[in-house]
Amino acid sequence: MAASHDEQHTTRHPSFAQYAFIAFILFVITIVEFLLIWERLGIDWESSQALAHSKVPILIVLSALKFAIVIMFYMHLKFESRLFTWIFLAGLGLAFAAGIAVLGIFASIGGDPRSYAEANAVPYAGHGEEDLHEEAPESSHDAEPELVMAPTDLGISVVSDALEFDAGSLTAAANKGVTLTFHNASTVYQHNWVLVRSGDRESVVEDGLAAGEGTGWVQTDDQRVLAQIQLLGPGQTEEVRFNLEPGAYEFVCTFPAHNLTMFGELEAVADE
Amino acid sequence: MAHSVEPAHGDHEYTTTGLNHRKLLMWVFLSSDCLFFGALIATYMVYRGQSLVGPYPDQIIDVPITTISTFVLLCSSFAMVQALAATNRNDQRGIQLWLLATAGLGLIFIGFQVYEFNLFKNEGLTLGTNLFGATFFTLTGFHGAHVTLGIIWLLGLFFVARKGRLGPKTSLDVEIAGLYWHFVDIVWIVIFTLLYLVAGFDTGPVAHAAG
Repeated sequence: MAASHDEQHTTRHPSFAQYAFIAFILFVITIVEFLLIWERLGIDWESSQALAHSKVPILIVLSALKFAIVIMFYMHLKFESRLFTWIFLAGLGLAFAAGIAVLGIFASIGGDPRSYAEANAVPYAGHGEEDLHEEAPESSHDAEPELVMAPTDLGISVVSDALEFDAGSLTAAANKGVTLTFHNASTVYQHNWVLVRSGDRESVVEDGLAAGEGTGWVQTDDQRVLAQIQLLGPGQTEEVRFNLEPGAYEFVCTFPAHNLTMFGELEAVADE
Repeated sequence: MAHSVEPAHGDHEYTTTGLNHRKLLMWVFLSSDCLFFGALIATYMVYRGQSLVGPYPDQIIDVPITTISTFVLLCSSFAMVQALAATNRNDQRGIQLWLLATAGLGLIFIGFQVYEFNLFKNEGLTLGTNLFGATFFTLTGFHGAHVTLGIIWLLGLFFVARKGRLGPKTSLDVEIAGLYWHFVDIVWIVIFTLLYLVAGFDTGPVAHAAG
C-alpha cells in the first residue's frame, strides 16, 4: 500500500528531467528579460511610440509567466486541491487590487504625492499646546487671533529649483521670540537665509559677495545681519531663533545671483 | 473512535476539508504574505520618481549583478524541488545534499544583497536619504529577511535530515519549507522586474516630470 502511495506521488509530480526543463525555461525567460533592457544590446525603446509603450507590459508578462510556472510546478499547485489555488489567488488578487487602488488614488491627484502633501499640509500646532488650552475658553474672540499669539513659528522654503522663496512676506509677533525653519527644497542649489533691517539688504549682499564663498557669502560678524541660516545643501532644513523689535525687515539669499530673485519682507507686529 | 483525531502513523489525517491542515495553513500564510509584499511594492511604485535628492536609481542600481543573484535564487528553487523529490525517494544522501545546496544558494543571494546594500550606503543612499532609499530598503530588506528566515529553516531541516529523520513519511516537513522558499523566490521575481528592470533606470524628479 505504501508502495502504491509512492507510485502515485512519482506519477503526479514532474520527474527530474521535467524539473530541469522547467528550470531551463525560467533561466531563458530571465535572460530574455535582461537582454531586453541591457543597454549594450542597444534596443532603443524610445525610438517609437509603440516600443516605448510596450516595454513595461512585455517585462511584466514575462515575469508573470515565471511567477505562474514556479507556483504551478515548483509549488505543485497544479496538482493540488483547487482550494489551495483559490486561497492563494484570493490573497494575490486582493494584494493586486489594493496596489492598483493605491496607485489610482495618487494618479488621480496627478501622480505627485509629495506636492499634494505639501499643498495640503496643516501647520503643526504641537509647540503651542499649552497656549491653546488657555486660549480655548476665549476662542469666541477669534476676530484678531494673531494678537494673542505668543512666540511665532515661521516656515519658509524654496520653490524647488526655481530661485524663489515660497513666501514673499512674513509676519511675526514682536518681542515674543520667533522660530524660523528654513527648508531648501531645491534639488541642486545651495541657499541661505539672511535677515536684515529694511533697507540694508543690498549693502549686506554686496559685502557678502566680496567676503566670498569661504564665509558662506556673508561678511563675518556683520552687525547688520540680525539672524541667519547658513548655506544649506539641497533638501536640508535648519532652524533659527531670534527676537525682533516692532518694525520692517527684509530677508534674502545672499548666494551670488540668487539675491536678485530670492528676497522678501518680514514685518514684526507689536502685541497691543 | 480514536481514529478520527489520531493521525494513524502519519499516513492519513482526517480533516473537515480532506486537506492537510499544515499545508492549508502554509497556503493561507503565503496568501496573506502577498498582501504584505503587495503593500510594500505599491508604496515603492507610488513614490517612484518622487525623490527630491539623489542618489537616484539610475545612478546606483546595477542590473547585471542583480540578474546574477536572481539566477542564484532560481537555482535554489530548483535545488529545493530536488530536496523534496529525494525525500519522497527516501534518498538520505540526496536529501542532505539538496537541502544544503538550497540553503547555500540562499546564502549566496543574501551575500549579493549585503554587497549591494553596502555599496548603496557608500554611494550615499540610506533608509533616510530620500523616498527611493526608504521604499527600496524597506521592500528589499523585508524580502532579505524572508530569505534569511528560510535559510535558518532549511539548515534546521538539514540537521534533522542528518539524523535520518526525513523520509517519505515526513516529506510534508520538506514540502512546507519548500512552499515558503518558492514563495520567496516568486516575490523576488516581482521585485526584480519592477525595481530593477522597470524602475532601475529612473532618473531624478526633473526627468520624471518631463515623462
